[in-house]
Amino acid sequence: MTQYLEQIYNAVLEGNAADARAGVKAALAAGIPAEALLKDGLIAAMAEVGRLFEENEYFVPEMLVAARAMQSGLVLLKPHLAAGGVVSAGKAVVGTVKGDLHDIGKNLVAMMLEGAGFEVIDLGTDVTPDKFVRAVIEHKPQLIGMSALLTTTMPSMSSTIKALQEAGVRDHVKVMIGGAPVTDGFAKQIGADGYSPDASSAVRLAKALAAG
Amino acid sequence: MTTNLAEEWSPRARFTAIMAHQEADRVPLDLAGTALTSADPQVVAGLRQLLGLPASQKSGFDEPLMAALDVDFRHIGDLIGTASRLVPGRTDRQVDIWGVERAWTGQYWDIVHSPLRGATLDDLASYPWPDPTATIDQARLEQFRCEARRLWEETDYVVVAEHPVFGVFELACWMCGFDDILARLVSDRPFVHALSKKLLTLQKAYIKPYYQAVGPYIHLTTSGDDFGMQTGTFMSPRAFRELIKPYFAERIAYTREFTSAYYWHHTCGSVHTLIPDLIDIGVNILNPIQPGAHKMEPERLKADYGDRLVFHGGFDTQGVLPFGTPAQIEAEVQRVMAAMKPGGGYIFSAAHNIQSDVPCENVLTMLRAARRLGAYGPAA
Repeated sequence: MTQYLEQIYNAVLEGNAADARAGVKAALAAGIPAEALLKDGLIAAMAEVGRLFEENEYFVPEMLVAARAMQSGLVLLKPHLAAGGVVSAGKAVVGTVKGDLHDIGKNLVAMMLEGAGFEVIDLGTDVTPDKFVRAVIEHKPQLIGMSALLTTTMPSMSSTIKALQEAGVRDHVKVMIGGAPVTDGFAKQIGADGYSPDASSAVRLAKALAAG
Repeated sequence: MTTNLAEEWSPRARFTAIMAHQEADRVPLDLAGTALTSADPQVVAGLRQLLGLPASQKSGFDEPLMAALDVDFRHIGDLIGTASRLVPGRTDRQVDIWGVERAWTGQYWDIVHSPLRGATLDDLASYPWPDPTATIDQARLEQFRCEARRLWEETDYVVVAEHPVFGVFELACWMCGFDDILARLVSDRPFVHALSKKLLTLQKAYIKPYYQAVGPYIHLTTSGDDFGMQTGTFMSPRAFRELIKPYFAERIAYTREFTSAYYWHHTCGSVHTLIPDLIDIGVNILNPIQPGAHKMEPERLKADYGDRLVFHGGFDTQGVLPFGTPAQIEAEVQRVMAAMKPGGGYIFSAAHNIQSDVPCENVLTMLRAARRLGAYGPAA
């Protein structure tokens, strides 16, 4: 089993989507359980990518190609995971808030969450508070992740939390926020459950919030 | 604002001294001396009201306002390709000369379509690139030349020429999409080189006539290209050195064939690791010094690079300026000045354009404090 896992792990780390797909195919053909490939291959590799990013050894380009390699392997794995009754680490709805079209930070968080075993519903950009509320009602996620790049769009995070309260679903979901001007102090001020400064630490926060 | 300084230097004398890493009478002040140190029209209208100036028809940064704020810089020029055109039938969508489409989102024109997303080398070859010879407005160039000459010969201000064309990396990001080009920095380097070579050729075609016109009459010129995020650079220093630095270096060198002006470069975010490279290729002044970004604290930058680089900016626009009290603003000005002003080499400004959520009173408090706390010597 080890050689198959190593091939998948290294392919993701190097951002080689073709090798990641080939590795998953070969491992499945050899009868390796899908859950092991997910946990010890794809997720383990993305955890290492996150660590390397936080250590300033990997940068956004390396993270992007690794995430794409992971995603291309995950596509092949998904039917086998479902068939095997493997459950996700949790469900997260993510989006960039109303009035803000910046998405690369949010996309990196979505990729890293998926790489950690979460099911991610990405609402895109310019997401109104009402759209977040409807997504919570429809998808019943454990988490919402909101992103903003501008000080002028940050207030929409507070509006969204108020909208969740008014809809009676605030206590159904944990809210985490991020983005260049966002701070831990702002998160506490608006009643969010947490803040993370980058995509890698967002995964740790998400796991902690989903478990709590 | 009146001065209480014993001897008031001219803006040019002040600038010359700090560029030579010497102390002047006070630190030079900038607001709207460049296109990237400006302010939202609402903020400007508020400033005019606070200062008792009549409302202005134009952008609001006219000579009476600049003089009232004691700004040492005056800028001329602009991007000189054809202006963006509206998408037919829409007032909220426009396309620029590079084919990038933007939507008005209430505060900015934000990109909604990148025409080279997923492009191949063949696509680059067949792409409808802008034609500089056909799209430069000569009458407008002559206006820029006349205004630069007027400021040069008839005033004491530091004359700034705006960049005539965008930066090589930002153009690649806008035309391909950020995620597309960033991934290609590791997975498709030949494409990045081919695109950058093409963009540099076009940049030069805008640079030459522009600086032939304004070059003799300017003290500094600008470019903008963001290499950093809040937490670090977008790309590894190795990728920057291979894929962006050579093209940026050639742009600067080419500009210098037409003007002896100082070179000012704007990059948002955390770029501490790239500063030696920027110095190496001829950047004299670095802007905006976003103090909340990783390793971009004024104290660290001055200690690490203060003898080799002039800094422009440094006052936090992500926290203190929009949300601070007057006392907090004054304290932050004191902190930035204490870190940056010793030995010259510093120009004070907000660390980027001032957005509409900033109270105009905060802007005035910041500038008044900077004027007072930027003084050198016994008048300080």
